[in-house]
Order: sequence, then C-alpha cells, then structure tokens
Amino acid sequence: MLKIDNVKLNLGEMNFDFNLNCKAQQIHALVGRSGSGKSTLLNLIAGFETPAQGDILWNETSISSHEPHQRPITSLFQEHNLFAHLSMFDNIAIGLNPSLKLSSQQTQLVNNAITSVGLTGMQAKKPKDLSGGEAQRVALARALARAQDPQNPRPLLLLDEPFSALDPETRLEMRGLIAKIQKDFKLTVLIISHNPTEMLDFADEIILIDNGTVAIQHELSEDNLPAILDEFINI
Amino acid sequence: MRVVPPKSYFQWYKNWQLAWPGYLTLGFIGLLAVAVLSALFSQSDHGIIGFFTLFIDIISDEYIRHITYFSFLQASLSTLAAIIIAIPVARFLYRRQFWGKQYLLKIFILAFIMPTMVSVFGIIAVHGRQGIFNDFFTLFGFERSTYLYGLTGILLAHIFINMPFSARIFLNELENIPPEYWRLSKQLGLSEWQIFTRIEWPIMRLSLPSLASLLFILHFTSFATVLTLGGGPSATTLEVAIYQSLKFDFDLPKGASLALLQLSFCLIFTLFLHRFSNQINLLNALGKGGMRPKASSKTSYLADALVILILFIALILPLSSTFIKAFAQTDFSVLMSATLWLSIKNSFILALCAASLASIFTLSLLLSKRALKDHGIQNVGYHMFSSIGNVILIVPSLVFGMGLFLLLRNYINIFTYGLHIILFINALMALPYMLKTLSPAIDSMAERHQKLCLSLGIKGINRTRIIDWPTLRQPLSRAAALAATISFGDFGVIALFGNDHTITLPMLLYQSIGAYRSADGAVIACILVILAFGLYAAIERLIGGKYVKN
Repeated sequence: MLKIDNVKLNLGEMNFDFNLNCKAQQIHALVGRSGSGKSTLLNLIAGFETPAQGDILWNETSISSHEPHQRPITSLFQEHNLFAHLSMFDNIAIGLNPSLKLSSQQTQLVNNAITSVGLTGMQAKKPKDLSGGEAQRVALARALARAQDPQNPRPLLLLDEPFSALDPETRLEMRGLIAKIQKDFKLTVLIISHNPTEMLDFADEIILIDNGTVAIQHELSEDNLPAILDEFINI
Repeated sequence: MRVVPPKSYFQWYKNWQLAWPGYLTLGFIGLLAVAVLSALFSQSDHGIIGFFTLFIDIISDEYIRHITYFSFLQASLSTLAAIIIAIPVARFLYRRQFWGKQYLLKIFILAFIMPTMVSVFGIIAVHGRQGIFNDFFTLFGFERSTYLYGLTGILLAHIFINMPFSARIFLNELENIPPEYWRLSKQLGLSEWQIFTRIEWPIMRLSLPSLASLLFILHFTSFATVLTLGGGPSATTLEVAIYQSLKFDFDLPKGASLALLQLSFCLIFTLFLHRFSNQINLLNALGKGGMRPKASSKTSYLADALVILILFIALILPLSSTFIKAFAQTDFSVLMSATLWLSIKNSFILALCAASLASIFTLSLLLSKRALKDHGIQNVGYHMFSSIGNVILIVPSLVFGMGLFLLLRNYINIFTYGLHIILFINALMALPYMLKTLSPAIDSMAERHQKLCLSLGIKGINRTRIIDWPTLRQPLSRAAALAATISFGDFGVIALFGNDHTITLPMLLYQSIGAYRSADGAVIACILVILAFGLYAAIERLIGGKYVKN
C-alpha cells in the first residue's frame, strides 16, 4: 500500500497538505482542476519535490528520504519521456541500467517488455521515427521492464497525463493497454486525468484533488457512480 | 515522521560543490577584468579621479576630437549605407525565385564570417590602384586613380562585410509575413510601392533598431579595415589610435586613455543595444518566397536589375577577384617561404587553443548554471554565469590587449609570450558567441532530461556519456568551429603583440598588402580562406560526429 501521511509542502503562495492511502495493485485516478495539486502530489511521491513535513510510505517502509531513482517508482510524463538520440531498445534498457551494460537476463526483460506493448521489430528505431502513441508505448515498456527487474522491482507507476497529447482513439487504446499490463503484472498505478469520465470505466478508485488537498476518495463501482458524480458536481 | 531541517548555514558550501567550475571561471574572468581596468586607469593620463576629464579632452584636444569624430562618422555612414542597400536586396531576394538563390544566401553568410583581411584584400583587388576598376577605366583612356584609401575604402569594405548580413536579417523578417497579408494585398490590388510601404517596410522596421545598433558597434570597433584602408591620420579611429600609440609612439598613458575612452563608448552603445532585446538570427532566412504577389511592373524589374548590379559590384566581384588573382598567378614562390608556414602553424595553434579554452570556459559556466537550476538555486552566480558574455562584449579585443600589455609588461617579456596572450584574449572574445549558441541547447537539454534522469538514476559519468554528450556535441561542434574560425582569421590583438616570430596568416596578409606585394597577398588570402573554412568543417565533423547529419 502507498501511504501519504500528513505530507505538507509550500510552493510560493500555494500550500499543499496531503493524506492518502492507495491500495496496491489497483488503478487510482487523480482528477481535479488545473493547479489543484495533482502533479505536485505525483512529484512528491516520485521524489522530485521534498516535503516540508510528513512521510511517504510504500508497503509500510518510508521512502521519503530516498532519491527519486531509489524509490519503487517509474514515472511517465506528458512529454520528453524518451531520449531523442537513443534507440527504442536503449531507451528501455536505460531504465534497468544507466550505463546501458545489460546482463542477458536484463536484455530478456527489455525484449519481453517490447513484446508486451506490441512494438516487436522496432528496437532500432529512434523516437523521431515513432508516432506519439508508439513513443508512449516505449515509455510504458520501460516502466514494465523496471517493474519486473528482479534485483530492484518498481511496481508503482505514476502517470502524469501521459496521453493528453494523443488522439481519442489512441488514448482509448493506451488506456486498454495500461489496464491489461496492470492486471498481468500486478502494478499499482496513479494516473492524472483532466477528464474524469474517461476514468470511470478504467480506474478502481477516483481521487479528487482540490486546493492542494485530497477532497474526495472513492472506490468506483456501478452502484456508487451516480453518488460520486453528484459529489463532484457539488464541489 | 520525517522533518526536513531548516536551510543549512552551509548553503554556500553546497553551492560551491554544485557549481565550482563556473565560480572558478567567473572569478578568473572577473579578477582579470578588474586587473586590466586597474592597469588602464593607473597608466592613463587621468587616473580614476580624472577619468571624466577624458570627455572634456574630446572637446579640448584636437587630435582626440578628430579621431572621435571620424570614428562616429565612419560608423554612422557605414551603418546607414549597409542598411540602405540591404533593404532592396532583401526585397529582391524575397520576391524573385531563381536558380542559385540558396547559394547566394550562403555567400551572404560567407562574406560576414570571412577573415576581415581577406575581405579587405578583395576590396583592394577591385578598387585599388592596380584593381579591376582601374584596369577597366584605363581602357577608355582614364588615368589610374586612388579613390580607395580613406573614408571611401572603409565604407566599401564595411558594406561588403555587413550589407549581406543585414539583407539576411531583413529577408528573415519578410519571410515571417503572414500569408493572409498577401491574400489581402491581392484583393485590395496594392501596387508595388503600396506593398512596400504598407506591408514590407513596417515588418522590416521591427529589426531596424537592434540591427542598426549592432552594426554601429561593429563599425565603431572595426580595426583591420580602418588600419588597412584608412590611409593616414585623417582617417584614423579610436581603435586604430590605440594601436598606433602603443606600436609606433609607445605613448602608454595616451594609449591607456584612448582605451578607456573607447571602453566608455562601447559601454554606452552596448547598453543602448541591450534596450532592443529582440533577437536577430542570421541563419533563419530560408529563401522561400511565400505567397507574395509577383512583381511584374517595369519599375520593379528595373529596380531588381539595379540590385543585381550592386550585388555584383559590392559582393561578388571582391569575393571572386581574390581567387581569380590567386589562380592567375605564375609566381607561387611565397609557398616556399618559411614565414608562411610559421604563420600557418601559429594560426592553427591559436585557433585550436582559443576554441578549446573558450569551450572549457563556456561549458564550466553553463553546466554550473544548470546544476544550480536543477537544485532550485538562483543566486547572483547563477545569473552571472550566462550574462558574463554581455560584459565581455563591451570590451573590444584591442582594449583588452592594451590592458593586458600594461598589466604584464613589468613581469614578463610580452613579445615572447605574445601567442599565449592572443589565444587567451581570442578565447575570451569567443565566449559571448559560444554562450549564446550553447545556452539554449543546455537549457532545453535540462528541461527535457532532468526529471527523467533523476527518476532513472542516470548521473555522473553515465549521464555525461550517454545523455549529455550526444545531445550537446552538435551545438558544441558548431560553437567551437565558429570560435576557431574567428580566431584563425582575426587581425586584432595580433597587431599589438605580433612580431617576426609571433606571426599569423592575417598578419602576413596585412604585411603583403602594406608592401604592395599583391601577388603574394592573393595566394595568402586564398590559403587563409581555404584553411579557415576547412578548419570549420573539420571541427564540426570531428566534434559533431555523425549527429551533424541528423
């Protein structure tokens, strides 16, 4: 379980105060207005921002003092997820070993990840030769390879609006792929979305961030959907 | 629960650890600037207290008054002439599509970055007493005339160097005219004159203040052109007077005073230039016509024919005559001269060392700036790391050379270490260009890669080897190649410190011109151009590697 325990942060005039428990091996959708603090929450979890107070725990172990790369996390950003000068294979491999010197087991992991995201045969391609959807698949493959790394598994996937630049059809396709990967490899996913309705049939839980804090947190089911929508509209 | 401790009292130590190469470079340049300034002040007739009396001298001392007046006169006229000619040239290039236009645009850049002494030689080859023009007029029974030396020659050379540059800037502005303007002009049936006054000129005017200020500074600090084509005391500028006071009169107080005066003017001009912050980019113009209506009136064809004639006389003729003269030679004895080979060797040493030193300075400053930014630190050092380039721009190389001469002359034999001093000054002078070229590349690299590198744990040698170097090598190759080429063809500080042993190709060319050995001069000029551009290509390929092609 991911636990955000009374984490406080001050960025200019904006104060953030987060308390949150996210069950492992589920998809948690973060929704809210622009500037409400969704990305800041992911930055705190990933270690890009240092909290002024509070603790972040993964499976009851504090990770607050860990450097970003030491956390059990892989992040996917809206853009710049790939290094433009590296091949697709190297872009995935660098997630397992920053020196790009892979063991045979790690090479196998990279190849498996490529197969899982449906990009077999494109290993040598550079990001400029890939479509937007394919580029995000490569980033996803890297997350997958890192999640399965036996020496240092990173089963927590943070997605900061990674599909907002894609067309609706590709977005739907990518959501399907994430749902499949999440189930197959038992990942815990936190995904930011500007479109809550897109999340309703995708996420297990929906979390509304408002004014730097967690306003609503609900598990999603067909029964409580109308009540959640009412609550959202009221806020 | 983890509580982050309050801001450490040892923040400065953290800053130092993050950015020590930048702080060292900054400190070194800063100390040197202070030392050079102190040397100039202590040696000048006026001292620090009497510094402002310098400006009174402009009024009271006839010599200073004259050279200041002439400096302003030639800079103003050169700027005006370059811009006035560049406007129809840019319009011609925009409204006409013809074979070879792309090559012509490349020649425009060539003229700007060509070693100044070669440009000067080209002008002499066309307009000199034995030049093509005089040859042509003697066919009709005219006497050979010497109209070149003085203000005319300076203007011709400055037009040759900076008119193409200005035309490209204007062309870039014209290419940014939205297509809707042209649709509207067709609908309204605007005449060519109306198109110029209502659409083109208002757009071209946008870059006028920054372009005119930049050209004025370049012309005001022009040295090689004025020294070679000035032709005597009546056509002397401040920059040349500094050189003369040190080299011929050995009047150090006068030289120091003139250097301070020149520095003050440059400071004022740079502040003025800084006001016009819109960027001008030489390489943006693509030479594509866009949707502009075709200019088919007789007047427009006549105007464009005139432009072609001007381009031929002002640009193509001087450029080609150097090569024609060199290849028409029968006497290549200069190639056997030991001095030529010594000057080639020295030029290469200077260019490569200056470019390497400038690259080290630039990378130290910019990577330190990035390190501070990555940690959210934006202190004075952070801002100074990139703005030090603007400070260096204020100081003309000759003023810097004069200061270093005064500073070091009591401790070392200046002329023994001439080459070292020149390469150091050339490296500093290349710094603003390198900072300008590399700064956006490093900023964008940091923006794109920082979070990803942090999250994947890519740091240290892995980050340098796998991420930073492949991303930076292309812009670095271009910046280093430009720095080396400028240094290779520079005839500035070498004039102060050069002698029979410390000689470079531009200096040798200057000596040939001075001794009226035009045959040798043509060969040397050719070698200088070929080696300068060869050096550029080699450095770009060696550092940029296969990524240059992408």
